[in-house]
Amino acid sequence: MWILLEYIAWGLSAAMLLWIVADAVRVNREFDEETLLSSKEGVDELLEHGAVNGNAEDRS
Amino acid sequence: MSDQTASQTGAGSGQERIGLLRVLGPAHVWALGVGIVLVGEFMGWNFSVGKGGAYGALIACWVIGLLYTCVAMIDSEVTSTVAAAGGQYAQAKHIMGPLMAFNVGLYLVMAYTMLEAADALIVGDLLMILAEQTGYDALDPKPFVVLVISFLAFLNYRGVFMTLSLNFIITAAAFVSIVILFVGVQPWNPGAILKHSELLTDLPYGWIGVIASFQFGIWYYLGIEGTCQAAEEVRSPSRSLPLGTMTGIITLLIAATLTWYVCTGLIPWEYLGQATVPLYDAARMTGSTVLQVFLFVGTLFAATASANGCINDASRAWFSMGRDRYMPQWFGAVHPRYRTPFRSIIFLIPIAVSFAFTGLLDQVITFSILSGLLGYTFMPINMILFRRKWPLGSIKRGYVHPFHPMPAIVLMILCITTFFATYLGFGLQLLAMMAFYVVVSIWFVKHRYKYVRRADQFTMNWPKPVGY
Repeated sequence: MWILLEYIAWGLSAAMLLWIVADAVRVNREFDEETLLSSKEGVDELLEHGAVNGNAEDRS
Repeated sequence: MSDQTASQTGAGSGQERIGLLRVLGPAHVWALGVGIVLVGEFMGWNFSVGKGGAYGALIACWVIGLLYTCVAMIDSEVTSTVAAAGGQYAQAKHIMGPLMAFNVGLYLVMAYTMLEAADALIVGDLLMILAEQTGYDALDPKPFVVLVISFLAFLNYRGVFMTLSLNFIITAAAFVSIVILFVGVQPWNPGAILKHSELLTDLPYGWIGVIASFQFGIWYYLGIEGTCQAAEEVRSPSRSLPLGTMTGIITLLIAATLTWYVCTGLIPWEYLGQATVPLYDAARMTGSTVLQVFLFVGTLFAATASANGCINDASRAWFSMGRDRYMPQWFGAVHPRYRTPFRSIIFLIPIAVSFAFTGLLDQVITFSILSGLLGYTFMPINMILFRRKWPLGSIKRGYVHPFHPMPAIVLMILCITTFFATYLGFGLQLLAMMAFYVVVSIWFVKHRYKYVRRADQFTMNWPKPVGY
C-alpha cells in the first residue's frame, strides 16, 4: 500500500506543478507585461490618511 | 477575457492596475503568524533542554518569549504604518535605506524558504514513522516532501483567502491538540501522570548552559513576525495587523508554556533533550492511543501550516523586491485572476525542493534561524530611527507600542545574547552566513542598485523625516 501511495504522491505533485506552469504560461500570453507588473506598493486606507500634519512632500 | 479581467481589477485612475487582493481579516493574520511558528512547539524547542536542563529550557522559553514580545510590539507599530507586502523589507526600505532593505529582504526569503523545506522534511519523517509502525520500513519520504510543497504552492497560487483560511483551521486544530494533551495528563492531579517532582533537576551545565539553550528557545516563536507580509492583503491593516500579531504572540506564549510543562513532567531531561518529536513522545508516554493519534495529527498539521505560511511570506518578500527592482522586475507580477504573486511562488518551488532534498534538517533549520535572528537585530535600530525621523503625531500610526525605547533596547540586548549562544553551538554556520550576506551586499551595491528606480520605491505619503 505504501508503495502505491508513493506513486500517487509523485503523480499528484506532477499534475499540480504542470497545471501551475501551464496557467502561468497562458497568463503570460494573454496579458501584456505592463498590466501584470502594474501593482503598486501600499494600501489605500493609509495612503489617503498618511500625512497628519500639513501637506505631504515628495520624498524622491 | 483579458480586457474584462484587467478592467475589473483596475485601480480606476486611468491606468489599469492589478494589485494583491485585500480580503484578509485578523483571524487570517493570526493563522499566518501562529501557523508558521506552532511546529516549533512540536519539535526543536526541546534541544534547549539538552543544553540547559528542564529549568534552563523554561528560562529560555520565557526570555526568548520576551524577545519575541518586543518583536511583536515593534512590528505592530511599524507595519500598521508601513502597510506593504514585503513586511520588514518594506519597513527597512522606507526607514533605513536600500542596502538594509535588500539584506532584510534576503533574510526573509532565506528564512522562510528554508523553514518551508524543513517543514516538508518533517512531514516526510512523520510518514516514515507511521509506515514503520504499520510494518513497512522502506518508505521513501521524497514523494511526500514534493507533494506537500506542490500542494501548498498550488494553494498559494490560487489565492490568499483560501490559503490562509485553511491555515486557520489546521493551526487551530494543532493548538487544540496541545490543549487536549495538557488536559489529558491531569495537571490538577500532580504525581498521577506528571512526575515533575521526580524529573526536574538543578541546572546540569550551570548558567552557561542556560545561555546556550537560548538558540533553541527561538523554535518556540520563530516566524511570528511573518504576519507583516499580509499587510497589503488585509482589509484593515491598522486594525488587523496589530490584533493578529499580538493575539498570535499570546497564543504562542501559552502553547510554549503548556508544552514545556507537559513534556518535562513525562520525559527525563536527558531523553527529552534529544527527542525528534517530543510532544508526540509525551503522548506515547501517557499510554493513551487517543492522545497519540491527536498529537500525531497535530504535528502533521503544524508542519503543514508552517510550510503553507512560509510559501506565502517568502513569495511576498521576493515579489516586493522584484516590484522595486531590487531583484529582476519580472518577479513583481500579479496574477490577473487569482491576484497572487504567481511568478515568485513558482520561482521558489524548486529552491524549496532543493533544500528539502538535501535531507539535512538540522542544517537547514539552523540557517533559517540565523537569517531570522539577523532580521530581529535590525528591528530595534529600525524602531529607534522610525520614532526619531517621524515622531508621534507626524504621521498616522495604526498602533503605538508603549514604553518606547525599552522594547527596542531589550530586543537588542537579547539578540546579542542569542548571537553569543548561537556562536557557542553553530559558530561556523554563523560566520558562513555573515560572509554570504556581506558578499551579496557588495553585489547589490556594485551591480544591482543601478537598476532600481530610486524615486518609485518610496510610495508612502509621508512628510519629510525630521532632520532631512
